[in-house]
Amino acid sequence: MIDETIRDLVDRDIDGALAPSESTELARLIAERPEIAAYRERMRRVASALDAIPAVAPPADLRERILSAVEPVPARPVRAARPSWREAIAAFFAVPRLGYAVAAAAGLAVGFVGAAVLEDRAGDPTDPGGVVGTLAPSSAIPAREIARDRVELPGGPAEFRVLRHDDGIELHVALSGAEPTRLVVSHDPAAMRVATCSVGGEGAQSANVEPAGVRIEADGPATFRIRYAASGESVASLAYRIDRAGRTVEGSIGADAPR
Amino acid sequence: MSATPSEGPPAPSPQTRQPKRGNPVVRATEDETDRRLVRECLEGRSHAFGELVDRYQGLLFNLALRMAGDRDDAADVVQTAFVKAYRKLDTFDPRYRFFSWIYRIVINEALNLLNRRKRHAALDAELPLTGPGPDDGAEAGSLAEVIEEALGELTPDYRQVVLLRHYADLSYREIGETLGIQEKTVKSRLFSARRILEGILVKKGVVSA
Repeated sequence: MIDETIRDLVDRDIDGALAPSESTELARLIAERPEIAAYRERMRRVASALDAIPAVAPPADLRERILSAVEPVPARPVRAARPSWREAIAAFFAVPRLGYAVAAAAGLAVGFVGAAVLEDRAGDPTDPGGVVGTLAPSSAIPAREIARDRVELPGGPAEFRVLRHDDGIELHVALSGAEPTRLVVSHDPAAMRVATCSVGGEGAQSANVEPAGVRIEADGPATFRIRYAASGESVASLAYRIDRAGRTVEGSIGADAPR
Repeated sequence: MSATPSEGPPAPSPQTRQPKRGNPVVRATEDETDRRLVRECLEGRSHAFGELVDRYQGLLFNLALRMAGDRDDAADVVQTAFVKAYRKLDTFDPRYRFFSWIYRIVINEALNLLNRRKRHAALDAELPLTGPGPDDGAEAGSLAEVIEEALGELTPDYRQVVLLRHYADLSYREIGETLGIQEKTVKSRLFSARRILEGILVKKGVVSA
């Protein structure tokens, strides 16, 4: 009969968790009692079999599924404000006693910085992959409401308004309720491109601009404003898909009207 | 099991076990890397979370698979856990190990899944888990398959400590920290689980009595 104290010694020995004095004691017991040696050998085989549990490869697309579900943007995107090109230039020339040669080089650098900032802000709606837009506060420019919609969802409604500006449209989305919501708003990239997107409310988690749409996620009441710049004679309607609490609603909100 | 520390871990391929991480220096370095990646993620550096996914998706998937018993469910569990971890990343306490934190999210998701299954299946007893099968590399009748079946016969509490010790190579203290239990409870469950498994393996003729 092997008592619990000895079993404990054997188990900890298998895990390499014995103090030197305990190892010595166990070695003595094993030498004196064959049944302890046999028990240790059995448990060692069990542990070896467990150590050999094979690795199973996860699905090849698991990483992509995870990253597309979270999107590589800051958890609080509106706080990650980028300096304007004026601020970038001011910061550059804040270094004292620049020589004329350095100033000339700085002028070239400013040109590249300005071009890069403008390029990024413009985005490329024909880019087939990845996030192309940025998040920035939108200005409250008076506009004319041209469409409105309300979708009843578990936990509270989603309300849409489309406003017409001189150079495009603006979509306002107001999400009510505490349930997690995913909303995708799609547009025709040939007719429009996303110019700005702003988020508000405690529940706003993220708004990610993609080539042909904006993906919004919220964990509670939240508001979103998406400003589209029109690139054609008429502005196509916006399609949306909302997922909340296992329910999916799809629809469109009309913005069709000649400019 | 050998108690010797491992050498520096190579990058694990998807089909191989994560190398033993017994070396405390290696472990401390990895923990510091995790903390750095979390900081970078919170600072808005987009690559950082992807690196965390790369570091842990394989290990977490395998742990979830042995809890959920189904490959697709395990993938869903891991995906959901990572998304929740991302959203709550600012709540991670860097005094603790990132793996411990995200593992608890994974195991909660897995246990929620098991509870939902129970409600839908209208079974009173613990649902038997089939674990990985021949399609996942465990040949029918092989020792690996026998072990997987035996693991499936353990309760979730016992199965977790066995997996964290023998698959994830955590120490008693780290297992206790991960599961939020005392070290003596870890040892009690682990030792009892191994004896139950011994009995199963003896019965199946894998280990002689």
